[in-house]
Amino acid sequence: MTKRTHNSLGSALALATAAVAVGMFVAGPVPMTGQPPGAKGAKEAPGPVPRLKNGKPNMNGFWGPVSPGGNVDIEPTAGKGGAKAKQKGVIIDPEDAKVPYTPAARAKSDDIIANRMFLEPELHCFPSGVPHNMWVQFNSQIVQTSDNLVIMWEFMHSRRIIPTDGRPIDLPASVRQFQGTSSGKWEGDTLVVHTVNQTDRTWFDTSGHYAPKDIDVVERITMINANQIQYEATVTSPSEFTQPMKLSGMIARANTNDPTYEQMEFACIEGNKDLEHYTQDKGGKAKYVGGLKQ
Amino acid sequence: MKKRFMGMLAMAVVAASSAWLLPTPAQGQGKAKYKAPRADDGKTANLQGIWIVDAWDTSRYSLEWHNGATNIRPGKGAITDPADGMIPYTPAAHQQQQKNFKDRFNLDPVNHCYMTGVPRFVTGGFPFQIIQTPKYIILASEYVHMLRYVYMERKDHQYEGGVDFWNGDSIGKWEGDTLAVSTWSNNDQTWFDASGDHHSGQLRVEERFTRTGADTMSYTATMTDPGVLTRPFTVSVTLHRNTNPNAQLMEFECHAYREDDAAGQ
Repeated sequence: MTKRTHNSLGSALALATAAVAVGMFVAGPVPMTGQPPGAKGAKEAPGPVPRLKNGKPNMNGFWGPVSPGGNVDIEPTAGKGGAKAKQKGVIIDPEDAKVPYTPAARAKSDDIIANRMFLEPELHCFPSGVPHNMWVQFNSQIVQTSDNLVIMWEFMHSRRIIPTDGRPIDLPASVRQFQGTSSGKWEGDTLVVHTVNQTDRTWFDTSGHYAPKDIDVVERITMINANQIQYEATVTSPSEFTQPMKLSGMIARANTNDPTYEQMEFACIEGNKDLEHYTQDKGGKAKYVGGLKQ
Repeated sequence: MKKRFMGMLAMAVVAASSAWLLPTPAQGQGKAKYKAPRADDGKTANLQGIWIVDAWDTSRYSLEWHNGATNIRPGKGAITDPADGMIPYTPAAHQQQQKNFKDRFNLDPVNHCYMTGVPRFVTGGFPFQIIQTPKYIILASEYVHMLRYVYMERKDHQYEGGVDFWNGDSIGKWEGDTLAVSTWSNNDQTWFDASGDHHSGQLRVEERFTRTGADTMSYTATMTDPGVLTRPFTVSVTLHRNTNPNAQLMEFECHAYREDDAAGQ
């Protein structure tokens, strides 16, 4: 806190807000899911929330995925073949930690799992959609300015460019994008991001729990100290959910031991061979990548 | 009447003076008087926004002067050096370009939804957004969500000779209000345009981004490549900013559309 570029009242409020956030986090129902990393061990308390010149939390840097996430399977899995049953993932509501599909939507998901795994979006190098992108397998880099928060994942160089000025979302419902369209606004130290206009081609995980086309996602992103971001989201689907799905996890700072760390270029469609494993004789159907029959 | 006449005369004088002030090919200068707003750091020129190459510019079809052809709009090239406006290929490389052109529907990497490489990232006709911090300048393209990271604090091309990249490895520095980007470690898989203009893995690109007005930016790129060129060449184009205050990059997920086409959807 050597740079006090914003006024001291702002600082006091910000510190108080951070303290409240930390207090809520520790006392709340969400279990602590990860110690802040650090070369000198987790016992050293992380520093305060760093800030941009405009006083907002400064999230510039490298970050891990939301944990607990759901990249392999967003739902708890029964232990198969003696394997340990998976703990609850990112879903905190409903209480059973399952996607609150309607019966018809559940049947659709079950059919995908049984017969249509070749539709798995990442096999096709499709962006993962929101919120799935927040727990893909690789780390991400945030570049944040006074008017945009940009999250860039090494995995498939997918990205979200989130304006933080609370602008209206003006895409008509007929226009659909893998990552939807997002608008963010600050509520104190929490960035609240609203995302709509997604496609029906992404999943919440890589195990067939598809994301309905009409999902509306509201994320609450709160940096609580120098090394941790609290992530919460509410996902609603009027047509295919029976109730809102609430998510909660932590994002931990990554690559702290290498100040020169850089993300590499993850080419995906260039040379993609994954779909070859999903040919007709394996229960799939012939697919095309980049216009070339696989 | 007199006042009005004098006013018109004054305007004419201003117009004439402005015309004189217009820089000759001096890229990186732009209108001498334009002072770009500052970025968040309060120091560097703010290049942020969503930019696209001028609609009249035909460099996305060919960097050279070119005839019309299927899916190729004819027009003036973007090459300002050499003076003949043509890429200074070696004879063998020129022959390769001719072959590429004939089979461009199959061979153009963009027809397979692959990353464009540099400078096609900028000249290829897709919008891109610049996001700027002191340490990183990000170029994000609408086309297949391409990303370029320009490292402003790194001084060396640390991947050269080891790793190569579709969009190269870029380090940048400020030359006054001009962003100078040096891109090495390019792979040999990309084209400069839709006409088969190609390069080797020895390609190195020096780009200059200079704001010339509230909504315009000058862009030049100088290519050196002893693998295919007898000397360097330079292209120069004008970029325009999206002036809608709520504008956001859209998503052009080319390979998804190709799957739709193949599936007859």
